[in-house]
Amino acid sequence: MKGCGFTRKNLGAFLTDELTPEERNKVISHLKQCSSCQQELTVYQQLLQAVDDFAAGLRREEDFIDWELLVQKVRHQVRNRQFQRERKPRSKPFFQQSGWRSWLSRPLWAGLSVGVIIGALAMLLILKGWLPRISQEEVFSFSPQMLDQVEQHLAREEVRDYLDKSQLLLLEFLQLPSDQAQRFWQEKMTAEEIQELLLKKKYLNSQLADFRLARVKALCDQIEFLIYELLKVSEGLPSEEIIKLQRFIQEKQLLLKINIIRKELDESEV
Amino acid sequence: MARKNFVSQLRERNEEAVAHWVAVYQKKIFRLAYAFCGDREEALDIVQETFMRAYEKMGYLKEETNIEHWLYQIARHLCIDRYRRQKSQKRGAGINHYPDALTLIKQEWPMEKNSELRQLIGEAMEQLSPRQKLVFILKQINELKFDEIAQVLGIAPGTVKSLHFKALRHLRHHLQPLLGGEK
Repeated sequence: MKGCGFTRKNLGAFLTDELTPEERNKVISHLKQCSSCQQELTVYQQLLQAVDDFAAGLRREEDFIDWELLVQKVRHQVRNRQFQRERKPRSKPFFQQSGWRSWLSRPLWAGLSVGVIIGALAMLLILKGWLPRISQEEVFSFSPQMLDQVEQHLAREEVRDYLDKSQLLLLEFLQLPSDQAQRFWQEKMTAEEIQELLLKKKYLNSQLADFRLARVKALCDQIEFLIYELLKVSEGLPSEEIIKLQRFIQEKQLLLKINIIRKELDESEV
Repeated sequence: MARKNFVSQLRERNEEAVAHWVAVYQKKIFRLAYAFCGDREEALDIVQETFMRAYEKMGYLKEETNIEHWLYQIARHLCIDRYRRQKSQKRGAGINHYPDALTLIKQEWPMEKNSELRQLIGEAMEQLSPRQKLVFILKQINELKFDEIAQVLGIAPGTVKSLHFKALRHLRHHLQPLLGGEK
C-alpha cells in the first residue's frame, strides 16, 4: 500500500514522539487505512514496552548500589589527585634544575653527558699522540717475502708458458724436411707467435736473473738463440745449415730438457 | 546565574560542588554504562573513570557547556574502549550478560511472556553495532531526544534517527518468534 515505507521507517520515531506534526499526521492517516502497518505498530509497541521493562529492571539495580559511597570514592580520588598535583612541582627543564644530582637522575641526560666526555677524552688522547694511530699503509702492507713469492710464482708461470710454445715450435721445425723449412719460417716470421715469444724472453731475462733460476735461464737462452738462428733460415740459409740446426737441437736434447724443466717447475723444485 | 556559579565552582574544583556534581549525574552515567556493557561492577568502574576524566579536564569547562552531555561523551568513549577490549579478549566466547539485572527481574516478577522478552532484549542488544547500541540506550534508557543524542555523539540528527530505526528493526528481527507480526 502507498505510504507503508514511510510509515514503517518512522514507527520508532512515532512511538517515541520524535516526529514533526506533519510527519505525525501522515503516519496516523496511513495507519487508519493500513491494517498491516497497524499490526507492525503493535509489534513495535510490544517491543518498546519490553525495552521499558528492561530499563526499569536496570533502574531497580540502582537501589542496590551505595551511591553515597561512590560519591565518597570519587571525592577521595579527586583529593588524591589534587594532593599529588600540589606535591609534585612542575618539572623544570634540566638546565634550570640545580645541582648535578638532578642531571644524573635523568638517564638520557646522564648517558649523553658521559658519551660526550668519553668522546672528548678519546679525541684528546689521539690528537696528543698518546694513543697509537693506525696508518692506512700498514693496514694494506705485505711482507717482502710474500711479495717475492708472488713474483716468483708469476715468473714460473711465464717460463712455463714460454717453454710450451717453444717446444711446439721446435717440434714442428724438426719434423719438416730441409727444403720446406725455408717456407715454414717465412710464414712464421710474420706471425705474432714468434714476436710474442721473443718479447716474453726479454721480460723473463730480468725475472730469471732476480730469482737465480740459472738452469732455466740457460735453457731459455739456448731457445732464444735457436729462434734467432731459425729466423735466419727465412732469409735464405742453405739446406746444409738447416740440417745442422736440426742436428743441433737433437744433440742438445732441447726438447727433453724443456720437458725436464717443465716438470721441475710443476713440482716447484727450481 | 546559579548555573554559572556552579560551573565556575567546578572549574575551581570546589569539593562540595564536585560532590554535588557526582551525586546528580552518577545514576545517568551508570544507566548508560550498565546497559552498554551489561556488568554492574564494570559499569561502576566506568562511572568512576568518567568522573575522574571529567575532573582532569574541568579547568577547560565553558559556561555554555552542557555538563550532562559532556559526561555522556566521556562515558561513551570509555564504553566503546571497553567494548573493543572485550571483543578482542572474548571473541567467540558466549558471554552471559545482564546477570544481576535478570536475577532481580526474576525475583520480583513471575516469568511471563514479557519477562522472557526482557531477557532476550539484553541478548539482542549485544548484536547491535556500538553506535546503534549507544543511540538506542541514550534514547530508550536515558530518555534523551534525537537532537541531544546527536550532540553527544557528534553526528547529525538524521543519522541518529536512522541508527535508532535500524536498532529497532534489528531487535524486532531478533525477537520475531516472540513478538509475532510480519517479517
